Amino acid sequence: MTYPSAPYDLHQPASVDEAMALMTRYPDALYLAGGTDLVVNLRRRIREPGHVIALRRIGDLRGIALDGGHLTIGALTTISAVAAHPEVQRRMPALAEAAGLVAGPTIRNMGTQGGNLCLDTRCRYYNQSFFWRKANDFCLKKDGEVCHVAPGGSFCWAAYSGDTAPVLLLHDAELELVSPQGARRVTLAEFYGSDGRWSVGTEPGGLRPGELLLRVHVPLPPAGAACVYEKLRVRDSIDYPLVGLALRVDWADEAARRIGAIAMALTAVNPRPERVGGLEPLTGATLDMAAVAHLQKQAHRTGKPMRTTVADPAYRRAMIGTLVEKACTRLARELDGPLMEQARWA
Amino acid sequence: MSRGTRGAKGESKQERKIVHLEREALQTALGTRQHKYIGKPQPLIDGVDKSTGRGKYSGDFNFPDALVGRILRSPHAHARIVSIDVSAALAMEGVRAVVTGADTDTPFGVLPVARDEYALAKEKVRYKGEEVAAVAAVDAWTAEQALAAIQVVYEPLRSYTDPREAMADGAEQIQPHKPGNIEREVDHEFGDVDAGFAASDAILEEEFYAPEVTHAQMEPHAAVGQWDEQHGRLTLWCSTQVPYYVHMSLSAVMGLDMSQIRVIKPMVGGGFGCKTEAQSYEMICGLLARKARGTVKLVVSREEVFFAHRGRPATWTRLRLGCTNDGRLQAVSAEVIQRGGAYGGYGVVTILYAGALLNAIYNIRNVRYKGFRVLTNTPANGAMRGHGTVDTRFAFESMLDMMARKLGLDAVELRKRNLLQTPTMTVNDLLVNSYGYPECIDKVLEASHYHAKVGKLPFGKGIGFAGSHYCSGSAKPVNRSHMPHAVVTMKLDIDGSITLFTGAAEIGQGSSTVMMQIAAEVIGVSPARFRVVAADSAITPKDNGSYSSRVTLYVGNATVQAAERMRDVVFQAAARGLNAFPIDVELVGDEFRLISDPDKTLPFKDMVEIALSYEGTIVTKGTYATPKITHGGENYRGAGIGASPAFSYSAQAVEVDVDIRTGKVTVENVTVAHDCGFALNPLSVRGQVEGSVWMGMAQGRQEETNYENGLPLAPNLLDYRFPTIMESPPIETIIVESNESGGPFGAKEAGEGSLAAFLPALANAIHDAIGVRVKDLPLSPEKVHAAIQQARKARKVSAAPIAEAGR
Repeated sequence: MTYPSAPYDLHQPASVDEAMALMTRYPDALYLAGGTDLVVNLRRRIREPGHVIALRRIGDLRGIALDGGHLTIGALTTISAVAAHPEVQRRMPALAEAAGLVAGPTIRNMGTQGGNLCLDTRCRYYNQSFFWRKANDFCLKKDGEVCHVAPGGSFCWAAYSGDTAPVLLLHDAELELVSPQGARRVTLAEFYGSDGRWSVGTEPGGLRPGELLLRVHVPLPPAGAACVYEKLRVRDSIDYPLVGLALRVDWADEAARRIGAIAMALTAVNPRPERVGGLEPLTGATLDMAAVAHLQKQAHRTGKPMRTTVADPAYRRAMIGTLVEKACTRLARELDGPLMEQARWA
Repeated sequence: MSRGTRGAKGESKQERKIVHLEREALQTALGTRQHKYIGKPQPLIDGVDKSTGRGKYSGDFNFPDALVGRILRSPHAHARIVSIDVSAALAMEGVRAVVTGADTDTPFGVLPVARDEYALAKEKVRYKGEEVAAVAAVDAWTAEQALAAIQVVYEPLRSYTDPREAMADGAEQIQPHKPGNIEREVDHEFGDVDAGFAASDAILEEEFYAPEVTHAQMEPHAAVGQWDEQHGRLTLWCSTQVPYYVHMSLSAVMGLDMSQIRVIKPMVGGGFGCKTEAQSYEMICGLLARKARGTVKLVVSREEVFFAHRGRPATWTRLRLGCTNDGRLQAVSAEVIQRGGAYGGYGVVTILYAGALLNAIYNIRNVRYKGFRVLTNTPANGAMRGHGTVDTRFAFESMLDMMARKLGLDAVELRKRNLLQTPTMTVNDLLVNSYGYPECIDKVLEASHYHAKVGKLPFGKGIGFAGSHYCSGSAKPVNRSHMPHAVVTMKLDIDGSITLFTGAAEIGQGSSTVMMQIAAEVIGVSPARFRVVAADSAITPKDNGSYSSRVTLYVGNATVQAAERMRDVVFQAAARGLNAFPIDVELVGDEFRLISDPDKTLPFKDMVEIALSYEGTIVTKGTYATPKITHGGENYRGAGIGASPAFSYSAQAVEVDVDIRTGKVTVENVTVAHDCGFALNPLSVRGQVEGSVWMGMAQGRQEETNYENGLPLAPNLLDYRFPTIMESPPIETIIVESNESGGPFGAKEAGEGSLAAFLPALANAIHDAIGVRVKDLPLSPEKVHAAIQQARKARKVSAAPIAEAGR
């Protein structure tokens, strides 16, 4: 049997109002959507709430709507529904692609879009059983004093490892939140914090205690925008990304590979999904070998893989550059030959 | 079919009889006798129950009053236990029993030389996760809280994860009886190794490393213990490969006569070696049930499976190989260090296997082996599919390719020049009788188009070849028992059914099905009349269990004997009923008839009536013991390990695609040929061979257990990355039948021998694809990527791209 979780009362409200009433009554409660992240953490006693509010019966948080220039995704929409939605596939194929690369089919059928964005940060010293963490003197993120990844510091390096966030970041997604205190809207970028403990409510834009993510709003990209998501993992199912990279190019002239605007974001290598800065010099430039090198340089500046997974951080660091190449190749096929040749001779 | 329609096609009775007798005689002479129930694909008799979820595993036994057992584990890698106070736990509501090391004074262990474990730690803990105390309570959370209330005071000691540190002078001793933390040192030399190297034109010496891997079987360990207070007896259902070891160990640990213990093995969801040894949790379950005077269910978590472990040890191999210019191997010298973990377990056997099976696949007359099994403060290692041979075979078959390249020879041709001439006795006294390896090689070369591909595929794509072998059971039982290795009984009763009783543990490998096929074939009765009752100590005869691929050959031979005796009774009864000699009687469908006069028939149920009318229920028995000539040498220590009645052989070709930018290797396809002697159940043989290949792939590509601060870093199936269906290549399986004269109908091992070859075949394929040799397992993206980086450094000297620089 798995380790037992601490006992809790399960509540199953049928509406957001009911959920808010429950949260007012039981302030230590946690929301449960698909459970693919939370249930594991309950059994590992990373979370020990007295009450759990299961959201499955709240029907109006499920579904995808296209309204003018906006895509609205209910937080309870399953990852597989996002991946399979024809309009998502047509208008934001990179989101469908990223969703389709989350874990494996059974997890995608249970896991939700909201849960994927609210995914707790991950670390090899944190995602362990109570016994294991205790035998390792716990850690900064939960019950302990020391970060085993960087023992000298007071910073938590646990990595955000969701697949859909980097794509949504590049599309300026906004989140609709509600708590017993009221509703608000934040950008996805301000939702996350730079310290791995943001998930427990350290950031102004992040989830406050008792707050619930209702919907994700995404402005649809204009024609001539292209976006791809590249995921590195050992197994082509189940695994979280070792590195995930989204690259978006709004072409000024696609045939000539001339860039109108370019944006890139990383996941799994920082405590939050991180937009890569310093890409302005590429505006108006051609997506060629020099542009690839610039993108690699900037990505390496942003991505800081640490010993948060069982894979070697040096390998993950090297792979950031490789994923840049793979993403660029998909946007500009002509780069394939020169990049492969370069790899052979590197 | 009614009487009178037979022989209707114009042939006289006499003609039919002649045709029949001639056919039988001819088939026997040519060895082409048609089998009825063996040699044909037979779905496993428990397959539907398993795949529909109807089958019951140990954890599925629910008794209304059952308590939940949970184990308190050591948070220290090495520490003296100063005190344990369980009073607060015992005082808690819902807690029915607490046990600690004080509840047992007898250590247990399968090997007489390694009985160093107690069910619960006494005086010292030796690894993080070791069992210190256990609780039986009304529910899991109560048990968990009771564990938290147990006060243990520890005095930490220096601990070791690296065997080379544990072996160093001045290291803290982990076991009192093992100075220097050496569990076993082996020093064997056969032939004249120095002379062999002197006679060699080329000598290679390389180091290889294989990290620790675990079985990752689907079903975690589970037991249900039921204490009968009235009779002072224990019944234990548990997920084991060897109920007999559990039975003996429970008796020792609980101080309870064996006659008062019943061990039942329900369905088992995979073992692969980890359920061969009796384990602490089984002992703890028995102790808790007795102390609580009730029923206790103890199912461990996946993480706890990593602590129970008994997997393949981390292995450092230094291999030296000498060869003449024309490709004749002259000498081999191997030095192996295995990180054994905190207890002996099967370790002595593992370190001996690693040396013994350097032999019995190629003809090498000069062999030196030096092995160290080292104690460390990590969970104990033990038997795992391909026990002891896999990491050494990885090194050896990788090195054969390196040697071939050095000599300018074809890598497979080098192997072919060093085949055994069989039957033969190897330099370390292993009898090799049947030897289908040459045929395996040829079949794989042909089916994989190896020679059309090797060295000729585009950059990034490659093909690799390797071979391996394994024993069909240990000729000498490791616990030094003198009883027959296998006993089977069979019962024919009033209902006309035949029940086969065997202690052999069906663990998913298909043993019950194959025994049924063998019995049906020998007697000539349809399998529909059979039931197999397996592994219940109160009902079935004692058996040494399912390990070292012994069951098909050993229990199969015992089944043949029991079935022959049953056949005699059955045909004598039928002959009596037909008023004829037994030799003139044949069984067709459910009817006996005379060969000389097919119109004379007797229904099966009438035969049963006649057979039972003399002495009632018919019971027959068959036994098997290994022939003395297969027992291995007697003039050196450790000679019993490796010796077997027969060896299986495997050849494999693996094709890969390597992404040089990520180091990711895609296995595109595998061609494997396995010599199993004779495929009693070809469906099952294919399943076993595919499973072996897959498990070799798992170890070869991505599995590893590494420790930090004494804890396994990936004690779950998300981070312990065995392959998923996405990584599973198409496997073409070719069955080779060398007809082992000592096996039932010629059969021998099928379940392990094809594992080891995959690993070196993969390394050889990667080398063919990109010219880079990786000697550290697993050949994971990061290892392959790092090796590519190294090759690039070398390239800076030669100014060539990586493939050319490596080739």
